[in-house]
Amino acid sequence: MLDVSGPAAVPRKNGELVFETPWESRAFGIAVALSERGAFDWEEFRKELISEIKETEKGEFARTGKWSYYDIWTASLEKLLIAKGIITREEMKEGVTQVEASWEHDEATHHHNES
Amino acid sequence: MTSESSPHLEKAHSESSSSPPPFSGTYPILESDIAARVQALESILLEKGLLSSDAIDRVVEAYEKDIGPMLGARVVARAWSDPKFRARLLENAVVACKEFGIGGNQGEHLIALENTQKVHNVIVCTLCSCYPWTVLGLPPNWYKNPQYRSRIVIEPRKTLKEDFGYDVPEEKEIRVWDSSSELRYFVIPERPSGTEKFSEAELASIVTREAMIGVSEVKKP
Repeated sequence: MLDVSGPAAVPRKNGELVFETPWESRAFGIAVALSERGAFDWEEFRKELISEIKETEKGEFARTGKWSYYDIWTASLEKLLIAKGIITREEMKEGVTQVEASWEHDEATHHHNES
Repeated sequence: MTSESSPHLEKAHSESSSSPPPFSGTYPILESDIAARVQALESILLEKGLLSSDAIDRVVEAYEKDIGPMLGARVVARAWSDPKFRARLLENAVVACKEFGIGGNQGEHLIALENTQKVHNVIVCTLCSCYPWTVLGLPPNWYKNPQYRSRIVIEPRKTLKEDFGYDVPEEKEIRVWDSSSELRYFVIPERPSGTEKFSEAELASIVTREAMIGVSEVKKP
């Protein structure tokens, strides 16, 4: 069996990234895994995505030409999960604060260890 | 639309993580770094027992390693080699693809579109980014961009020529298929001449993702 590493190979083999950043891959994985587990129907997520896309096309994209697909994806996911009561805004706020604090701590520790 | 047609739109994407999305009224989204938001989201879901990191890892790995256009290429190669398989594929793509161990996704119909001397097919999702994941993996950035999604429907022949360098012969009818949650399409491109002696594996190696989306043809090798 020939190793198909030509044009139709998995994108990474072509040097193209499926996900450009780690957070994109997590955002993707979370949405798919949650849907597989029945937290929501894919169609519900898609509806959210469609409305988010429409808003962005009229808003930021029309103004700046910037198109950040996974930003839109993540916003859709958050909106859906909050609407379904699976997470709350407060939890997200608190969670982000914790994550950013832990990043700062990691940086401080890293610099300390280097000096 | 007056936005510039720019291949750099895709590059801008990864650098945008530091700029928060526009805030509007009932928008629940926090104005903070998106990477932090995704990490926070994962933590919260883990704590609530709704997901495991492993589950997320498995999904990511599947689409980074196992699921991609090489699957569709093998399906196309067999359709080219075996008329009975081609017939089965056109009749019911989900069932036919199972012969390659390609699973279907719940609630999705996969439809194979046959390019002929008279008809050229091309796929799009005008509303979002629906795409035949099971045979092509995840869509390229340009497929998800507003430009492609609107232009290919309004002026397909011009778009294919200007954006993809593909000059569809005048005598061919171009059919644009709009995907949805339930209906995912992929294209069986025409087999180029000069491949009569190719094995299936060799045929698979010349089938490109772009040809299975319909924005190009498979060139004579």
